[in-house]
Amino acid sequence: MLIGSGLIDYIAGHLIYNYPKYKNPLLIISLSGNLGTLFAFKYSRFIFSQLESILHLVGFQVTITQNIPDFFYILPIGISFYTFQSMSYTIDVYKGDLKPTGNIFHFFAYLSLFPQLVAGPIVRAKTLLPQLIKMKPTTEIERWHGVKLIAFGFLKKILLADNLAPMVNTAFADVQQTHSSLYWWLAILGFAFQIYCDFSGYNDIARGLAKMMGFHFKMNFNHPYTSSSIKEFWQRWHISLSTWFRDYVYIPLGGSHKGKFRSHLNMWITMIVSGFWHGASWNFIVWGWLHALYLSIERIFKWPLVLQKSDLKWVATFIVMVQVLIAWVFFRAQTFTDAWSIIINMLSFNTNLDFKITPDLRNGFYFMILAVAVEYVFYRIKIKNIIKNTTLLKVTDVFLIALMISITLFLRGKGHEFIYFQF
Amino acid sequence: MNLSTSSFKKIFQERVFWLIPIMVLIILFIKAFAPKSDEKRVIENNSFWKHKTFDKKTYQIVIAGDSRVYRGVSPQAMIPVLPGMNILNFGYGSAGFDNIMLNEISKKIDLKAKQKVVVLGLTPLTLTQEGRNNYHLNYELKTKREELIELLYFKRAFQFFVPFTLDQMDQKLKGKEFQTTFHQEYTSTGWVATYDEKPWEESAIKSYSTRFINNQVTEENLLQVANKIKEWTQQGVMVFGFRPPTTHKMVALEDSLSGYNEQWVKTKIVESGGIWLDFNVDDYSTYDGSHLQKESAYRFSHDLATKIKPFVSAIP
Repeated sequence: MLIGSGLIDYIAGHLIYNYPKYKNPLLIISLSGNLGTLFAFKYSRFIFSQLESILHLVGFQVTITQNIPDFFYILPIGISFYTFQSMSYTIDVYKGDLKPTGNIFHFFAYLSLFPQLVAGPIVRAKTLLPQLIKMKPTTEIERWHGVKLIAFGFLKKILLADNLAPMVNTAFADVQQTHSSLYWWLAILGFAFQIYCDFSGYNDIARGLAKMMGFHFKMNFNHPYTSSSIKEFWQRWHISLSTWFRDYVYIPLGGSHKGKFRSHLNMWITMIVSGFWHGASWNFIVWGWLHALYLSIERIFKWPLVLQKSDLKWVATFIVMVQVLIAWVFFRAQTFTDAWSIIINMLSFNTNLDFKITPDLRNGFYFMILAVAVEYVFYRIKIKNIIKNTTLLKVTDVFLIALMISITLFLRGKGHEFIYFQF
Repeated sequence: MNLSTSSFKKIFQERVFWLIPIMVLIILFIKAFAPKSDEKRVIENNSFWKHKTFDKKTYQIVIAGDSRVYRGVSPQAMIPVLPGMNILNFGYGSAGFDNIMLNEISKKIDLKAKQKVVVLGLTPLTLTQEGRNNYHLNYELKTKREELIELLYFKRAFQFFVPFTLDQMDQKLKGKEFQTTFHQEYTSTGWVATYDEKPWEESAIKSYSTRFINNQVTEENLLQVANKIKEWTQQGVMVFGFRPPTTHKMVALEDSLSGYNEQWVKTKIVESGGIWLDFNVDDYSTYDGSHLQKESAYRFSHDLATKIKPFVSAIP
């Protein structure tokens, strides 16, 4: 799959560069190859089953899904990530932002670089190819920073995400077990930190490994839950994906340069496609749709700006968090009905406490507090640049890594696959 | 700031130099305050079964059966009576004597030894279909290679770094640490010395009262054991059979529900060339009505060895 997808774009890149007269059909062929593969393996079942339902409604008794070859039921790991990386290469060559590489090994090294291959970050060719061409030996300090990132990544994944997982999994396995608002707010807050620690943990490990090999990947998460607007949230969450959609979907659609209505429409298309990128289900589409709705409301009423000007930034952060949490319900729930039932429980703000306080729930709660504390400490260290003394900085650095590794060893949760592996 | 490569190297070396001792100190600190975790017992348990199943060593005496055997027969207690003999307890949970189990027993016998013995603990369950499914033994036999390596060679490391949760830490701080009255000690000879501080001889009765519904002792199952006994005796292996002691209530329940007839089983074993050993249930005590308490298991094993000794000593 990887070789096939890569060859299409490698050849297309050269042809577009050498035969600019035919660059439009060549780009269409390349995109069709990539998106066609993605469609076949990831979306064909969903789309055909929807089509089937519509045709049944209008009286046509057809069975399309049964005719899909079994082979298409296998979802190749990392397909959404490497397809997008591969496509960005061709599009950048098409736009004249990148000169195609003459070395096929460089191209495939870019595409298959193992740290980020299966779950990102989505690295652009124009960022990585120059690094591959001019490989420099790594310095000791780069390796040290690599170790630091890896240790922090494992802490987020094994210590925090894996310990939050049992609480979240128990909650979502049976949505009818309780109607308590408190329970569902806790469960979804647990999921918010689980997915953040799981995904950003993987990305930290990927960046650390890359750093140790001499490559620099841009940061993919920048404390997203501190955002005081949804726009800011998307500038801090899965940055490589949101910038990809901005550059290759939103801007080509016209961005915000074709009037207010088109600007909203373009944004809605981008967000819904982004939701669909995560998986072939209505839940992901609704998740993207909800974020689009939040963004539109934000653009029209400019409420974050009003709150920020009134020194009420924390209120804005709280509102953003609530909106993000509600959207996460659709992302995590098994079905749309489950998601809706949870949302009703959450928004009923009842005083029902009819849930069992199990060891998993207690443990999840403690790890949620720990996750918030870890996030807060690292945010403060980064933003406020608290430690200025170089010796103290060095000591803190060493102590923090030793502490991270040690507590991860003892407080490790039961191993769970990375959530984003499914995408 | 213009830092040369050598100064980078110095920074790195300095940090790595300090990282290791600081980490060791933190690990020791955490270990000192870590709450007790059941996970340690789980590792011990897993390692015990993998060792029993995959150890290639062969033995002069192999004692096989179900949980009444692995909890009730202590090779350590038999050695003073049968000095110089190496003995293995090859019992598994809910085991039965099907081809797989009988062949696994064969693999454990030291065929080159002059004195070689198989002792079969023939409970009703071992002759039923449920027993013959050998869920436990088959589960162990299907162990993945990487898990086997972890448990056989890195057990100590895994036990040292046994994980705990913040909830367990909280319970410890509140003085509600994990405690149990049920204790299991895993020994290197395959015996699990078991005792309960609060024994209750009725506890197993309930589960056994439904265990034999559509799960009866059959002649066919016994015949398979008998045939294997003939094969072993032809190879010069001495075979003993016995009914592991429980309680009068359990014996009566099993006899009435399972289709097990001790006299009939005894006759078949003897006809096939085996030797039947009788024990008095009144001499021993159980913790649940089915399995012997540690002290009783020790006494029973001593009695078992004493009964075997004259036959083994008679082997030229």
